[in-house]
Amino acid sequence: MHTAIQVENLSRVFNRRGTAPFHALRGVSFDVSYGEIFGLLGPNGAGKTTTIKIMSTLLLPTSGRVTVAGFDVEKDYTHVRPLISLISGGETSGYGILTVEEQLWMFSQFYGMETHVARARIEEYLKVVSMWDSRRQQMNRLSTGMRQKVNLVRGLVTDPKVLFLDEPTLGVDVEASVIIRNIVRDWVREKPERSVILTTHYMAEADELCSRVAIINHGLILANAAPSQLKQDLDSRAHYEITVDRLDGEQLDHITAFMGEGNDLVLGSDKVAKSPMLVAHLMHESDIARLITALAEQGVTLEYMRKLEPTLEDAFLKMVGKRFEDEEETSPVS
Amino acid sequence: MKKKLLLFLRTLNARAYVRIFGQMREATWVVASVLGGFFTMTTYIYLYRTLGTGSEFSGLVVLGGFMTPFFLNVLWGVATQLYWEKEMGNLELMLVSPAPLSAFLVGLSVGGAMHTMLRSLAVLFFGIAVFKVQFTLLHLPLALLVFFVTLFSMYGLGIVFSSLFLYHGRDAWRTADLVMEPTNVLSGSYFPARYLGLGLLGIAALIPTTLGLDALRQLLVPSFTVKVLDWRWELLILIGLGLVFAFIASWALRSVEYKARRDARLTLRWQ
Repeated sequence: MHTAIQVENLSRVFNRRGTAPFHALRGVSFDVSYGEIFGLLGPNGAGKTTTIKIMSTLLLPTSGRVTVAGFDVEKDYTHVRPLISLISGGETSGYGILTVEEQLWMFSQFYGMETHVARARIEEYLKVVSMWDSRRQQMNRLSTGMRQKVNLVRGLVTDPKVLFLDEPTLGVDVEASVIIRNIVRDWVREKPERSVILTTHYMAEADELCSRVAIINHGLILANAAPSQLKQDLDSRAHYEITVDRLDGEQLDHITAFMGEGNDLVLGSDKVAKSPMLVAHLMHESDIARLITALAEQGVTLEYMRKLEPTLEDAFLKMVGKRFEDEEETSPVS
Repeated sequence: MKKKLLLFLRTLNARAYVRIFGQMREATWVVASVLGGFFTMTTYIYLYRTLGTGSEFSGLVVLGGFMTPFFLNVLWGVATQLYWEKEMGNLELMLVSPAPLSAFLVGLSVGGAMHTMLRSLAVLFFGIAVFKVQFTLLHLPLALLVFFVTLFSMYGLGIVFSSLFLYHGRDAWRTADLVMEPTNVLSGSYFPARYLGLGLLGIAALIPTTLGLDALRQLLVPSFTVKVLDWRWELLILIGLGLVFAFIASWALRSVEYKARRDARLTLRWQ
């Protein structure tokens, strides 16, 4: 069994009084393998959180089927729950009057852990997130970043097979975000039977962590592939930015003719160095060698050159038609 | 089976811990609740003394003052708790865990009862010390039995309400508010429940505090004569009520969890 999660034709409709039914998911299918960090990307209201809620047994599907570690989340949810953990961004769960250590112990007990085992793991993970010294601090005195680190530890202490991370670095500073990402990556690598489902607003985070991402919008999966594949599918051409000492229109025409059809060259200027800057969109990666030769033949000296890589955000933008920042829709599942 | 029982007990213990030790850190709240209970009791004692009633009335008021915090705890600390847990974001985590909802509720009932016991004992102590109220200790073991059966029954009712309040969301607050005062009156916290009359007593008997208090007064206040029923019958009725509430609670929790998962009421806040 290599599939940690299998989602088949999943649909969810929310019926609200006085309004038309809201179709949050419309036949979503994907699977997640053990050892994988799988990302779900999409704007608000796209269906990410609804999918996570169904996978984590908090919500029933209207139709379709989801299995976690081979167990049906609808019928066998009592078998699913011991195997999973859920961590949401901006989470203020637990009780502010408890200390960090007490809070983590309390949650471990909800999984039936023996106290000495729980305490050992709490110590181990609190040290990993550099919070061992804050173990006796009350939860209501922690910063957002510290609280989110505690939430992460809470999710890991019970040693789940599947970890659901719903916007885990939301509102967290850069340093804490890096720590959280590193821990998640190391945690999955540590044991092959572990897997993570991640939803995030941060494309760089998904790009860095996920072996595959599914882009979801209006309850439909638009793409499901490795981030590198999604970026590659966006545009197969190679793009370069080349700053040179001099380049006029006549020289550019000669070079364009030399490079042939399909290769586009745009002349601009480097805003910092104020030198001419050539942006080249080449049919093949290898055409860069010909371009450099052509520039040299025109007596042009290269000052600086860099390859332009498409980002996951570009792929997202192309598929969804808007950036995360442009969102206005809201989901009924918050 | 053993694994399930251990999970239940560990969850119960952890949830009770928050109630017992966590809330001890809110010292001002503990002091305020003790003083509140004491002043209410004082008002009724002075009222009865002004009216020239017998000394047994002071005893029944002190017992009422002793039991009232438990009732308030059941209402605000158990019945509405699942709703608050949802608002705080804990309910999702409780449900995602393998522990049954009943273990959380029994845990917070046990923790709540133990925490409330300290406040109630403080009210009882002040009542005895300040107003020189006398109780007979001849039937103390029986009184303790009645007391614990009353708690069992009261908290059972609280768990039944908690599942209803969870499903009905924000109405829980208003419902608890609505239920509080009439229940206080019907349970005869500060007067003998028999004065309610037969009609109202029929309803009041469904509130465990009513018969529990009446039985305690019979066993601890020597000159108390205006009883509802003999304490033995009251004890039997309380045991019956407790078992019925436990059965309904167990069914209601499963049923409400299923319906809440179906209707997305576990994940929607402010609903």
